[in-house]
Amino acid sequence: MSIVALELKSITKSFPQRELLRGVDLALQSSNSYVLTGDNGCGKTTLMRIVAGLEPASGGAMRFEGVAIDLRRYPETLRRMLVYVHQQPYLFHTSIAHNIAYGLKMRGVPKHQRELLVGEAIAWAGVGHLTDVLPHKLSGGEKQRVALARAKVLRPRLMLLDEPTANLDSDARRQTLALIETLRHEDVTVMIASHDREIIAMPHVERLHLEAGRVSAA
Amino acid sequence: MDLLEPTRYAFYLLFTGDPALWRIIFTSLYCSLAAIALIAPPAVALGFLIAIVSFPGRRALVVFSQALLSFPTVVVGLVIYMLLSRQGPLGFLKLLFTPEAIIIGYMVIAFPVLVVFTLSAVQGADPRVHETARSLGARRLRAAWTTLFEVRFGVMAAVVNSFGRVVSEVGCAIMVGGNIAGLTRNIPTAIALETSKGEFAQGIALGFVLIVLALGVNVALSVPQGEGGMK
Amino acid sequence: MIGELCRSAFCLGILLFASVLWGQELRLGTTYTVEDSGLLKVLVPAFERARSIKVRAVLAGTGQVLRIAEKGDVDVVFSHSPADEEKFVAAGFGVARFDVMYNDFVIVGPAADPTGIRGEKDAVGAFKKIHARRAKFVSRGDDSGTHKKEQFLWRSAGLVPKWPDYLSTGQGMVRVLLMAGELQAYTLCDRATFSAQRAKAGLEILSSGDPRLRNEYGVIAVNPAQHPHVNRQGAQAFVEWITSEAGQHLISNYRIGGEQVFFPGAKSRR
Repeated sequence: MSIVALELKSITKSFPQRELLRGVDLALQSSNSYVLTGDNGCGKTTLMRIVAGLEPASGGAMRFEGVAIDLRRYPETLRRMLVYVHQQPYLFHTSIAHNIAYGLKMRGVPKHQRELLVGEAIAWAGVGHLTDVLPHKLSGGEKQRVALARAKVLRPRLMLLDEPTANLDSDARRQTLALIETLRHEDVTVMIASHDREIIAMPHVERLHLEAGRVSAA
Repeated sequence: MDLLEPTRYAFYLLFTGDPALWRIIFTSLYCSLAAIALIAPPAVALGFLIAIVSFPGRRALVVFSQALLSFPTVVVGLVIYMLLSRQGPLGFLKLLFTPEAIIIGYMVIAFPVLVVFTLSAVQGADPRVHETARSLGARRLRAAWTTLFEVRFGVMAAVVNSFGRVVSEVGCAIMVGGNIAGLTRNIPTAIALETSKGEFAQGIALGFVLIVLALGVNVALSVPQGEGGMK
Repeated sequence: MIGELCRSAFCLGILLFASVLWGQELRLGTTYTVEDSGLLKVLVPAFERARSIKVRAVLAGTGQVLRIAEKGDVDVVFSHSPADEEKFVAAGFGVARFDVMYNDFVIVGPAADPTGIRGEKDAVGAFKKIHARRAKFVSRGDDSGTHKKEQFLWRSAGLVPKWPDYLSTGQGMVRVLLMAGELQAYTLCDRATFSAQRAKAGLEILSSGDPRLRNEYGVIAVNPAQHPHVNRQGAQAFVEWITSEAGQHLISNYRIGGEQVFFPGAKSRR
């Protein structure tokens, strides 16, 4: 397994007041899991958002599975290959099933197949008992798990998880960690921005550290 | 003055289906609903566009729309009257003193309400909505649609507000409609002009219907909002 | 908060004060036609000067003016529906009715005159033609003296005015004239108002001269026996003044575009 899923070269991001990313170089091996550590505000979220096409980079180059990506004109096809999950995920004001089906619908997956996949994802996330509950009534941990299911159901090549266990109580955190753990068996590259010691200590996870605008192997 | 007797008679009129009374109620509903149905799609779309697309003059357009909110409805009536008048540029349409003229007036009155309320609803939307949709693979337009759907209670509030504004509007409706019995006489013009003829029972009945309408739409709006509108 | 209260209290005070003043004013209930013809603007200041009494005019159709007067909300009535006015007095609401002036109603309509009533001397006949052609007709529909006259003519013709282009609007004479002009419709109008509004309306007098079109104005002081608070001296003064030589002189000299539109009709008072 030595195919490079994501390769970043000299990614920079500057704001009028400061230079946040000063040339990030990194390469993520396909199907591996990574944890990205670093102080608050050091640019972890920004880096992931750049990769996800939610924010423009100031400079640098990106290749995804060997293909050069024009960061100024982020390709729609790439959006279909990776997915970013917010630190506090937003769930649409509709049922959990509809939330999970959303991305599948965008990809034109036919209805019967969609229902099958959504059912699997609900079971995977362990939220089957919540299907009649509207999102705003869910706890933070439940929202996080639905968001993970909503991302995983798309079978993305790359998942970008932003602080998935932050602000969760211990039970919710444990359940979320268990879900993240299962991702190692999937054919997906995972990058997790986190301070969570348990994630950092996961044996299959490789550690990256962002400091002073650059990424190094920790 | 005796209040009880006209009130009793008002309910008698309402529940015995007095044709003149129900004709007035029908005219009000027809004109208001038709106007909102016609103007809501473009107005909501415009409010939405102003909210998400930045272009030169956008700020001015927002201020202008907000100013239009407090535009006197009689002035709207006056302008439409002059346009539709026999000597006016649109006089050939022969629309003055028809329900259609009222609908046009209502559309003009409802337009800024819909634009401004939609605009603020969309601007108040969580930025994560758009990002989540995009990240899950929605194209730009589809993500915009999702955002609009997420603020649907705000958009519904815009629609309800504009309905409330036109259904109780009297100045423009009298000017361009003419309060013609059986044709353009609606609830507010009837209350304003017919009650002075001593038709108190009719006035009370119509006032009652107007209040029920105004309260009804707001209650109907707040029920689903209580379920899904809060975070 | 305190400032707000003070301001409210102040406004309330002004209102109370004003209402006390109004109590001394003469509340004159009169009809749109008197106002719309411009006569009211001549009569009121002249009376105020002559008798040093302030007048506040309350405008409505005749039927409504009489209803307001029944409740004692005006002191004196100056309207134009003799039959209703006599009933009002007979019921004890008014002291007595006096003739003041008269003019006549005219049937007006578009110059094209699609029903061909131009020159028709018989007003009822003209109405029959309008009905037969189901022509556009704008009605006051507001229980005013003019509306009552119109209803009288339909009754005399043995017709019920009900067809799609018979438009009952519930509005004052000027608005009805403008609407009839816009729609190029027929309507019934008193000569004075029509003279004053002719230019704006774009209509012509098509039928006039039928004795049944006579339009008589009368004045009635509201009965203090029914409503002790009414301004009885003021009302009495107005009745005396408008039927006096001075008042009658003003009426006969009133002109619109050089045309006399009201004819003094006061007989020597009983």
